[in-house]
Amino acid sequence: MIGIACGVLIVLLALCGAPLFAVFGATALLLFADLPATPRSAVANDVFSERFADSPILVTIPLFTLAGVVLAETEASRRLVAVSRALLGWMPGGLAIVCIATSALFTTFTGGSGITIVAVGGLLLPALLAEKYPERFSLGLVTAGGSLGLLLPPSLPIIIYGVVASIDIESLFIASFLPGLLTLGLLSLYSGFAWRKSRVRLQPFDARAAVRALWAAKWELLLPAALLSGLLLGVLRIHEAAAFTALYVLVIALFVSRELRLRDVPRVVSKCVSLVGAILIIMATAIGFTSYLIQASIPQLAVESMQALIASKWTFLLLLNLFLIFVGMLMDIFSAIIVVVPLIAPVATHFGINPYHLGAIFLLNLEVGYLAPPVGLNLFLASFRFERPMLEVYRAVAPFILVLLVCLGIVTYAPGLCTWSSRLVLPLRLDSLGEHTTVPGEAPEPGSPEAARGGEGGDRLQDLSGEGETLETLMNRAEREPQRRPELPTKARAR
Amino acid sequence: MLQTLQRWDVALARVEGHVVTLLLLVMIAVAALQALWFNLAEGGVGWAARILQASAWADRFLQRGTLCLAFLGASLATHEGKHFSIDLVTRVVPERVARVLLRAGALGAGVVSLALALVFFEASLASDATVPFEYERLTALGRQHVCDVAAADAARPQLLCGLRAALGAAGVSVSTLGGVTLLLVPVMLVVIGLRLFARGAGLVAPSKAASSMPGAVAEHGQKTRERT
Repeated sequence: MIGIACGVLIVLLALCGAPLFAVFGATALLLFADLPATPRSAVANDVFSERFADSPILVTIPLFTLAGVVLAETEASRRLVAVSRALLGWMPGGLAIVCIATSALFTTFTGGSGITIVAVGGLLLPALLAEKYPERFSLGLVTAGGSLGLLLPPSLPIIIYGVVASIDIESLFIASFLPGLLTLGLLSLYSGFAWRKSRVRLQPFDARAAVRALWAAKWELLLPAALLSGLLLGVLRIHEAAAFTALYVLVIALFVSRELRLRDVPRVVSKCVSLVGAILIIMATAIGFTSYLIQASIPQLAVESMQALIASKWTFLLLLNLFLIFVGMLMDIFSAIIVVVPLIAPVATHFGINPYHLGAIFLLNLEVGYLAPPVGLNLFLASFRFERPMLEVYRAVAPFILVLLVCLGIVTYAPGLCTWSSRLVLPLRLDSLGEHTTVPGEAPEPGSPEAARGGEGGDRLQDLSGEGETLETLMNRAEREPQRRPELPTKARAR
Repeated sequence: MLQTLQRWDVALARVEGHVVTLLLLVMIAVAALQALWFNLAEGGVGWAARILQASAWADRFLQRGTLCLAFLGASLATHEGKHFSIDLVTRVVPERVARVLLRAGALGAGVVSLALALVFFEASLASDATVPFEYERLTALGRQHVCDVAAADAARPQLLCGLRAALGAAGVSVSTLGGVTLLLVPVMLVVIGLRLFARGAGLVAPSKAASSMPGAVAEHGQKTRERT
């Protein structure tokens, strides 16, 4: 009875607009209070483990976010629009494609916070209208643009998904890359068709203007190239790449373009850190909630009930898509990842879905969810930013949702798009044997730089605990480990 | 009284802002230097390899730094009213009702934050309960923490021992520097809880318009509107 009353109070707390971290924290406290012989500190124990505080990937979150916030503070969005316009403006639907490309690039670095609608959409909507693109199409395009690029590296939601699902981030970058490009390609194609219906005149290609725009945006354009080459050539590990990105963007903004002054740095960093704090505190409290789910064997129960209800992998994927779109409508992307991934990942493994394929499906669904009426976040942002009634925004985004649903169908039912790299197929095989999800590399020579880094297959952040661990703590951890990790179903192991 | 509280809130936010700025910039420098040393060491530069070997602490520093940033940032987000929330109801009801609901939500969240602070405090102590072997000395009395043996020991980490003594006087037992940084989590949760209480009681207002969407969006919107 008391439990029900507390549950009702928590729902009321959420409906009153209380911060989500408090809602998750209260839920975890309530659930653990119900478990006999479990100390209350169990709510927070996993926060100080590899699941959060000791995770090597968590370091990348403030660093990439800082890069995004600095980019948003400068005139980078204006320069990127100018480049895309100079290069693509001559094509049928050119300016619309400019909008898609720029939004994707901007979101990739700024995350899915909706800032793209404000920064890029604010610049492009007047331009689209001035070039006589239909008003509804233009509004729909800039609204849809707000979540494009979530599937392209190094987007923050990909990193958070990797942390929560405990899978290799670089492999997830590779897995989600083609689905990300497919989304952009199909939307560009649709824009080309929309252009044919309108009376927009083509602009001739001006090589001189293109070179000028490229030169002006050279520093922003160099960044993704440098970052990806650093990662792919093994020069940078993921958190070093994040530090490199933050440092690069800061140096360019402070000393090259001089659009940021030194005295602005504390304000910009505070802005970045408050956003990071708002995300990470939800993660920290939601870990208590997911720890309960694991202790109470909820994922196993979900697997069993799914087994009874659904026989085919494809039916599961269809239902998963519907469920995730619904989740995307109601929750912001970060909370959705933290809460839903631990629940669905074991079920998906049971149905033989590659974890990286699941990651791409998950993120694409949330991309659609952002736009789905009645409560998709981008709809509110667009209505607020462009001062249009919600109903008009709903109508405007409808065709874009259809295009994204086609992409979702392709990505869901053509897993090869995500698992084309053999690197991504291997972890599933190992997974099904109950081994680690990462592919172990060769053991490094003792004393070599590789050994100091923790070797190829592992990560120094993970391997060297710094404080040094006693044999006792290692043994304790080894004892705790099987309880933390849900047992894989027998069928999945046999596969 | 109200003005004093508001001033304290702003002053605390300013201190937090400076701390996170310094911490994040140092973290960027450490991670960037790590990459530099590694690549130099791989290119056969001997001194870089030696620096790399000696900087094994860097990864731990980055992890603990991120944890500190997370909770200092969460406190800043509370100050600025930038936490993520479900604003389905508060968005559709009249503004006056929304204001009352938000204040009730803040009071409830304040209570939860203080309860979480207690739980995180216990968990941080439990996490630091086992003494790592490099912090132990074998004495006639058995195994002892390095700070508990004679002060003349050259290997005695002075900073840790000072902090350990100060915290010990307050009844808090820590074994490592990492354990000390973990204590920042419950402390910041208390600060967050108090801020939410003050907000709920109407004693302080968020520094910028409270909104469920990241403040950066709203601010950038304003900036872009001004430009266009």
